[in-house]
Amino acid sequence: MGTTRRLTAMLFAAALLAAGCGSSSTDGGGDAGGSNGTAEDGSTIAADLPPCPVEALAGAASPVDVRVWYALGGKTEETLKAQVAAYNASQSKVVVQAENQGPAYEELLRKFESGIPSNDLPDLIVSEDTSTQFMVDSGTVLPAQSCLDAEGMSTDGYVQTAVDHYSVDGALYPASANLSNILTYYNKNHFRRASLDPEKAPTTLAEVRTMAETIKAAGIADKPVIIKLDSWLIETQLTGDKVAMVDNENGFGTGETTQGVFDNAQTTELFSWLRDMKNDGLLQPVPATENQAGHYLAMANQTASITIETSTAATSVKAFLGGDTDIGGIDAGPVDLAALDFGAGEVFGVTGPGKAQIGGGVWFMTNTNPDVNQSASWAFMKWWNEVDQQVTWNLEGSYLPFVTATVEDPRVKTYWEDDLAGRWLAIAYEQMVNGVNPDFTGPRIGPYDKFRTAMRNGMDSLVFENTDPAAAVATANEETTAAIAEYNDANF
Amino acid sequence: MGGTRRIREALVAYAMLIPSAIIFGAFFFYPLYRLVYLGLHQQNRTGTAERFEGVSQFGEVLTGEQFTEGLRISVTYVVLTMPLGLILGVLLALAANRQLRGIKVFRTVFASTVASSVAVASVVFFVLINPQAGYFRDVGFLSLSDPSSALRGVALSSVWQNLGLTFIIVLAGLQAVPDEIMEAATLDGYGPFRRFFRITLPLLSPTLMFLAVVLVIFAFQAFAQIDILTAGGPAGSTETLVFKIFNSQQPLSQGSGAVMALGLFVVTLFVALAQFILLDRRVHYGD
Amino acid sequence: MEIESIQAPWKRWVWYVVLSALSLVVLFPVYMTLVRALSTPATYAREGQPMYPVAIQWDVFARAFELGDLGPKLLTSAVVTIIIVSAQLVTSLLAAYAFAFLQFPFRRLLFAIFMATLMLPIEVTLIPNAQTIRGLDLFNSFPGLTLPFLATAFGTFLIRQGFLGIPRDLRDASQLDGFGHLAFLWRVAIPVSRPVIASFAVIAFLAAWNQYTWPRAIISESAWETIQIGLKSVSASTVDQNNIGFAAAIIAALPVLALLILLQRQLIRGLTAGAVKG
Repeated sequence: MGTTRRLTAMLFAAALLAAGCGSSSTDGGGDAGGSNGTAEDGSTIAADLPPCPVEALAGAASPVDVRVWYALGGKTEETLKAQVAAYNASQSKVVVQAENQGPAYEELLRKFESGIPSNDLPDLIVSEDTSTQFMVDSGTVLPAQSCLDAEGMSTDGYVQTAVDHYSVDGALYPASANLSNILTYYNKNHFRRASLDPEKAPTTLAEVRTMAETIKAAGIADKPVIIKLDSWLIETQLTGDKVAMVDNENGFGTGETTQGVFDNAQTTELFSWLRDMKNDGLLQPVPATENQAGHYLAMANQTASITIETSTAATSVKAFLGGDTDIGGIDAGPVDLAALDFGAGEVFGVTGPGKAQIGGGVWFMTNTNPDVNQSASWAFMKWWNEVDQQVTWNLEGSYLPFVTATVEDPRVKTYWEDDLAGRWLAIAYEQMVNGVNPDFTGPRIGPYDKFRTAMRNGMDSLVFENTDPAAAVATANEETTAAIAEYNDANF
Repeated sequence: MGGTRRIREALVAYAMLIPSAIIFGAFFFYPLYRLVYLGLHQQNRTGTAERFEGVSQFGEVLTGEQFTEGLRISVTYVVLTMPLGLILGVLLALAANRQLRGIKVFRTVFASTVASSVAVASVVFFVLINPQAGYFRDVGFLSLSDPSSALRGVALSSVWQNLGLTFIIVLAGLQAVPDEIMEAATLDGYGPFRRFFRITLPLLSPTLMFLAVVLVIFAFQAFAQIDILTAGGPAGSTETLVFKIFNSQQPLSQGSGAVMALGLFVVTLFVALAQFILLDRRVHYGD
Repeated sequence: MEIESIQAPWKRWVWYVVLSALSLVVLFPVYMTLVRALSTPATYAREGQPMYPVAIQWDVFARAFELGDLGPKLLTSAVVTIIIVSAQLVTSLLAAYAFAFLQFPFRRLLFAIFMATLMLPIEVTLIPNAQTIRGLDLFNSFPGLTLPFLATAFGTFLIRQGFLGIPRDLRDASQLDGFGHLAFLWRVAIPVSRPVIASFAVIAFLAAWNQYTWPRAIISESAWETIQIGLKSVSASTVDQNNIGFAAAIIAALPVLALLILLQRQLIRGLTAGAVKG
């Protein structure tokens, strides 16, 4: 019907933000690289870290150009660009140029990789959280820890789980993190009509099934659950239940990571659940292609009742419901609140809800450009991590705060209490802080992108070609092992 | 005397060829050599060192799933776009090949798709078949979100885009059919169908053969439409060879990418030659 | 030749109907693009995707132009195209002249080698060429965008065909008049072959303007995007207001559409050269 159709255009934006969501990669033993060095003030830096040329910027004669590569879209991209403009206007030593390198993180990484041989790299890259191992192995990163040490700053003000997640041998590599988490979004009115408690999101796979069956039986939605077949769907579940995906302590060990180990009962159970839900007509699967917005559309058209997506989508989803109908010049008319009522809750899991991974994006500084550029990048990142900027990044970019003080900021507090999207973000933040197991934050894999491709291929063949779940998992695992082997083999 | 003149002429000739030769050498033949070189080696992760793999890498990649899948998809794309493109072009040309007032307008319309680039055609078709809000989004046969139909949807954009080109060329071919022959046939009692199959088609065959080769080459080079419409998805069902090659530019995959590129080169060459030879026998020259 | 001069009036009307129907089918995609470009996306979806524009935003083209930064992109495309077409004309004219009028050792072999390059499109040579251009630090630059395309065997072939058609007598006469090669080329060969050359120029223009794969490989800064690449980034970054992306596509198509209408004859001649034996 008409009202819900209006959501269509708005929710496209949300889909883009889904690019920012992702599963976590755990820190792993890999080549951390670097050499011993001393900070400007003479104190020794943590072993093996290269020095950070903090002072170089001060000596620069003319404004320094800092190039930032990213792969964000929609409202998040807008916010990023606005922030960059604000920074450029606020000082005259650094001019930041942000370049969108393609709607998908994969493309961003490919372009970055292609530039490594000739050191033709940007100064900053906002890559996917899963890229940690690769970035460290590439030897092109200036660890943030070096700069923190050089300036006598500590990581205490940052979300500890995230810091642990992105640290190698105790050294934090990215200078900042765009944090996000997965939430379950559901249609409250569908729940009401199916005599389900509208304030309770489904918490387990079994619950999702029974709720879906109820909704379907009541004739409210033909296929109540809609899920984008992305790898992090499986990753989150496995990590939440402390199931390793690769050997070498899920990539964190001191040895070499050599193979995928997710060919097990838990993964098969998840795959089976997906296939059974689909075969029983309870689930609409949506392929994970670029700019995929099918699941949002279905929720908007109320042809589906339950989905899972990134917390970064919260603002866009709320933009509709909250009556903010004028986005970018589009006049969507008066909102009919009665028709569409979304709720969000912790992401459902195999045995319980809220099992999460650290996800989103990270900001890496590169070390291949002149000292003055590295210094300028660091200056920009310091500004980015200031509470004011983090507040904006939360309120408008919809990312969860990396700087813990942001949570206490009155603007954020009000937002998280009074605003619908804010409340969802609060749920996501709690889930991140409490639900992510600090000892098991997710796998760390060098060729993470290939692992995800293997997983996605497995899910696609499971759902579209009706492959046996165990076989699909086994194939995905084999492909992952092959990718890891190739990655290790190419280390000469 | 004649000798020096000949030498001078040769020198002038070579001088005139040098500009093109330099470009061809640097950007056509050197890359060919480079592809073979890359195909024989494996780069390390950061592209700072390479290791000799030998000819076995060629065998591995060419029989590997990446290449065979890419080839299968590229060939499917050719099959989806070429015959349909030819037939539709012929139909349009036949329809417009008559004296009517205002026929020029119709001809301009039919030729107009030649003005759209692949990028424009892709965006235009995105309007029609994107799974969320496309006008034909409910036509399952062309759905971009189903791995079994996505390639068809993309192919449709190519077919439409090629209409202008095929129309223009076939029309010119039709107009080259001598009046006397057609009139004689009509007088002999040949109906329109018979005229077409017995006379027009044979006379048109060189043109059609030329077009067939062109369309096949276009189809093998398909990249932009996939890049814009599906990014290779869903489930990799639209990843043509060129798409895979484009995404193999990073150090780790340069070796296999190079082999795939050479594979594409050989396949295109082979198909073009095969077409020439096979169809040339069926082409009717003269009367 | 037209095979049917229709006598019966009803037959004529049948054909008008058929032709109109076919025209509508051919134009339908562009028409729908226009409809979607003008309509407000949310309202359009709400109305059930009709075939006419709803809640028309007449300023969408201006907005697309601005949001997508289309002006600079059109300019970049124009500069790249002019460079490529000019260079191709020069190199092809020279090479065609040599092959058509001059005798020299290995002429046949060299011609075959030149033609062989037609089998090596940029899609095949992409990886090494990108490496070369990156090595020369020419990513995001005009040389980077144009170098691999400064010469083309297609042009050599086409223009050589044209030159071969020049009567021997003309050649001999100008020799008697003391014309050197360049003078003959400039004063006689080119003017006489102007139609063929013009046709080639139009084809070359189209090919250069429509390029996608190569710019996509070597451009990483939005300031250097050509209009074709720009289409993808505009569409991707405005997915929530996709009418902007559609409007951008129409803007991108306009220059060539104008060319098609103005230079139809040359275009057709160039496309049909070598295709039609008649």
